[in-house]
Amino acid sequence: MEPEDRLDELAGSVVDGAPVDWDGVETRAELDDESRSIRALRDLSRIAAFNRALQSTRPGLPRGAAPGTPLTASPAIGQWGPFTLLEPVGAGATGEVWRAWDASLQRDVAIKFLQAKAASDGGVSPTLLLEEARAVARVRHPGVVTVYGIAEHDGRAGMWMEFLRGPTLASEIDRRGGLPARDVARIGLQLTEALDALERAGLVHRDLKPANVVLESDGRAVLTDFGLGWRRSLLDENAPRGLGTPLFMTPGLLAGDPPTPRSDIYALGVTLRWALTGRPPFRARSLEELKVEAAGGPAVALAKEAPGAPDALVSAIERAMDGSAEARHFTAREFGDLLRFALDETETDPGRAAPRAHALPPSAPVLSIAVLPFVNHSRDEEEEYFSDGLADELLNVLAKIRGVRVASRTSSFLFKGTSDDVATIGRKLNVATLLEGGVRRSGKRIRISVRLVKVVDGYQLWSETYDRTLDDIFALQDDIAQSALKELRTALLGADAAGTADADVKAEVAAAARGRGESGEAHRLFLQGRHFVDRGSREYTTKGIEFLQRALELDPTHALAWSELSRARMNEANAGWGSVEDAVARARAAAERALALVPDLPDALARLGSLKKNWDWDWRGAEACYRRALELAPGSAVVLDGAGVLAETLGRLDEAIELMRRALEKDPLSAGGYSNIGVTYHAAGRLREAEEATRRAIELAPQRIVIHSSLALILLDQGRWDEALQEANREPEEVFRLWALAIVHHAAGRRRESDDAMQALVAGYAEGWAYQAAEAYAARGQSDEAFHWLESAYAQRDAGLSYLKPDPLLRSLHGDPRWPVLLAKLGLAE
Amino acid sequence: MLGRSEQPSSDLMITGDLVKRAKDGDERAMDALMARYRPRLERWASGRLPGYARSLLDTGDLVQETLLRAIEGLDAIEVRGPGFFQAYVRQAVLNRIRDQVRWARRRPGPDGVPETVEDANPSPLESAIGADLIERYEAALTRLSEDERQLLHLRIELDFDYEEIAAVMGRNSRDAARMAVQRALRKLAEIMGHGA
Repeated sequence: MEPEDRLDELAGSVVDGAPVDWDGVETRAELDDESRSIRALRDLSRIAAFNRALQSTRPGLPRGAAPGTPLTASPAIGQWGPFTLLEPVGAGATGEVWRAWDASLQRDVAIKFLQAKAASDGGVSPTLLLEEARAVARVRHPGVVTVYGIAEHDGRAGMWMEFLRGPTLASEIDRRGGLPARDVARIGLQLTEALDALERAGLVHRDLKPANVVLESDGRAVLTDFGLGWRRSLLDENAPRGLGTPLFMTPGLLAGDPPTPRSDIYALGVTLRWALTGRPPFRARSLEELKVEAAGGPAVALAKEAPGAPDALVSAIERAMDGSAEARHFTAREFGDLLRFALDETETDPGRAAPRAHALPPSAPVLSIAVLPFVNHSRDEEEEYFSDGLADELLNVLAKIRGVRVASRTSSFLFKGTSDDVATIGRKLNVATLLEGGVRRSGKRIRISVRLVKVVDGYQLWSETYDRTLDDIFALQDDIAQSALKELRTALLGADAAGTADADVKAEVAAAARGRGESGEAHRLFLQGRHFVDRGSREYTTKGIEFLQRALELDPTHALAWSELSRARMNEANAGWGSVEDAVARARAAAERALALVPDLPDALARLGSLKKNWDWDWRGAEACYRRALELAPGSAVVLDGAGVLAETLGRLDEAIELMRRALEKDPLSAGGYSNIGVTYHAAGRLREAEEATRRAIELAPQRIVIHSSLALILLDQGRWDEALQEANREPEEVFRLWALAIVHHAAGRRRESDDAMQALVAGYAEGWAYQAAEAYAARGQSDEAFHWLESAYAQRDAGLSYLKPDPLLRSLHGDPRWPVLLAKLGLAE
Repeated sequence: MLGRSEQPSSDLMITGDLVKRAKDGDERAMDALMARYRPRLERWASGRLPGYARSLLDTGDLVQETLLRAIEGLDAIEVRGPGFFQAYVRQAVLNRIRDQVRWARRRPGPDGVPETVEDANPSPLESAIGADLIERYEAALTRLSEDERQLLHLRIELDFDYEEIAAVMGRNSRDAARMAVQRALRKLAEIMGHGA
């Protein structure tokens, strides 16, 4: 069949929803153009299938999240045994994969349905498939997707496994082009460990490729098994040959040899090479061409294609991909050793160091600690609020102790439920010690065990188990805080250091723990309320407010609960749930109530400061609050970041950068923090640092809004127009994409494109985005329009105006007589 | 049987006429429009809302409100050809969904809302398909003609029958509609395949 007809036929199958053997079609594609279109059609078939699945939902199902179900619950599509099928997430030659809800354990799982073909079709029997799946299920390794179970319901055999959240390596390569050498080495190292685990279990993966590697947000690279691993014994006799993806197959496999652990290593080599260069290593357009090319190895030497990569990485990949079976005779472990070596090289070479090393100053030898969320050992999973809350309380108390640097909650709690080791977590959080613990509560009785571990060597500095009742909760919390603080000081500063005497420690902790009232039960309700408020959605916020109010009925002197109530009301106002004015007034009343009870409560001061900043535009009042809060809680990332943004509003950029840098020290995994400091560096004209910080934010949260568009403007100011355009197009949020495009196209002299974007921006987003419209007009040199939109922003009380003074996009307006008038109106004149 | 229009009964269709009658206050037309189109649009939209936003506003309310607004606002917009209404509403719903994530926007951020909230909870569509691909898909759609966009919206997004599509889009037959959808899809694939 001619390629043209083939594409028509495929498009027809996609619109009809007819099944297509995509792997087969892709392998047969002859021309480059054709295979690209086929890949796009395959993508479109997934989109169509997803939409069809949505449309086939049974009507009448309750919509939205009922209490107790996860927020991510989608309308159910069907049932398989105890699992509710939510949506299809992939389909392969060997079966389809669904996201499903496991109601008994209250978690998402991925279910792979096994497709057994009749043995007469060259397939294997269901029994063999089950046996096979059982073998995969026995592999326990963080780099291999965890299989939870396997069963047959309603005549369908399937296995369920952990549901991974994150992009595949393939989509990362697609999006970013080549990956930094350091990332490639890090991912590769994890995968060699995974392969080692597979080999020890007697398995080969046989379809290792970028699309089968999932990158979770915490840096974990996981080998998924959607192609199914095959037991070697099974393969030797009657496994179907020719499965797998040709590009990743050794010359031997292509010739029909059975897969071995060596061929997995080869596939990993191809995968890493692709990730490093951003290009497939072979250009063959047919299977025959590929056989020839694979045997001879890639035409271009890797050292040439990736000139900056460490030697150890280059030689590791080349060795893995060596076409002759003899040379490939090296194990996953050896491969891993070379990669570890490469990783060290990237770490010691300052030119290749992670951006964080520049964005953050080397910190003095301070007492640093991260409090990880405590593990809930109670029978009731609902008790999680209590274990989380206790850890959070400890974190808050320690953060208020002078001289102790505590990793922020946002960063520390990212490690909830991960299997990362102490060293990894410590390095990521940039701390010297970790406090971890577990909680079991039964009625009024509580058992808590905690231990303090030194990151550098994993040495346990101190551990303790407490058996108490809820009535002693405060004494218990203080005990833990005091012991931790004392051990921390002794371990890091020496036994004779100041501040290790019992009485001193006790007084410090007591001062830091103010504001929590007197009733244990009220405190428990407070923890539960805060747990709900943290989840952010409207329903949970409402529920959180209920709990906080109950806590305050029991104990109206619980100042922290008042402060927390203020935060919840602020969230309502910021999100526009209900009457904004009402919510702001309630937030203010609650913060003031907290401060009346404990005049210097830092949490409440920060609340009030933020209220004055965001809603009153009372910069002076806000500053007074933040200044006091900083004195009282110098280690709180929230206070530091808030104070930093305020300094920026007032045009004090150096101070703003310093505060934001300190916030990032406490909260090193905060994409928002990096994005904020990037904007401030940009305003200060420090473009290289701005770019570095913003790229770091993208690394941490590629889909977060406004990062790509910010980067576009930073690149634009460096005259890198093409890259700027690329980044502008990557912005996921349309309004910011249009905003950046209008500015970038204008700068590059593409008037019509700029006008189109500008028009769409104003037409689609006049309401709520007046400030962005003003920025774009100003950047295009249209001051009248810019001032018009600034006035509407003022009338709408657009929060963007807090960025008016330092905003580099508005510089063209500075000479205009209307500028000082506007500044004065906002109280921002000198 | 072939080559001839076999239209379903008229109150099942979202014709320009139906939209116009609804706008003029014809309640039956309004009901028909809502009954026929809304459930599909709702299901489609439910795949597009990120988890955290889905509970902010019921998808059903979001779609119903957007539809009503679109009908009310028809005076202000120019109705260009068959199927325009659906394309217009599609965009309006997407815009409303984006509004839902607005509170997570640029500084000054809502105090204490977890920084990662919008990353940790992608929409079902994003987690199933990948945000990248969705982005490329949406970008490529903008390069199609309005007619082609509407055909694909009706078929691969809302899963309408070819008969219904023929009726709505004014094609002569089921086969003509199918052929038009197939061509539009092929064109879309070619745009996506060439790094558009």
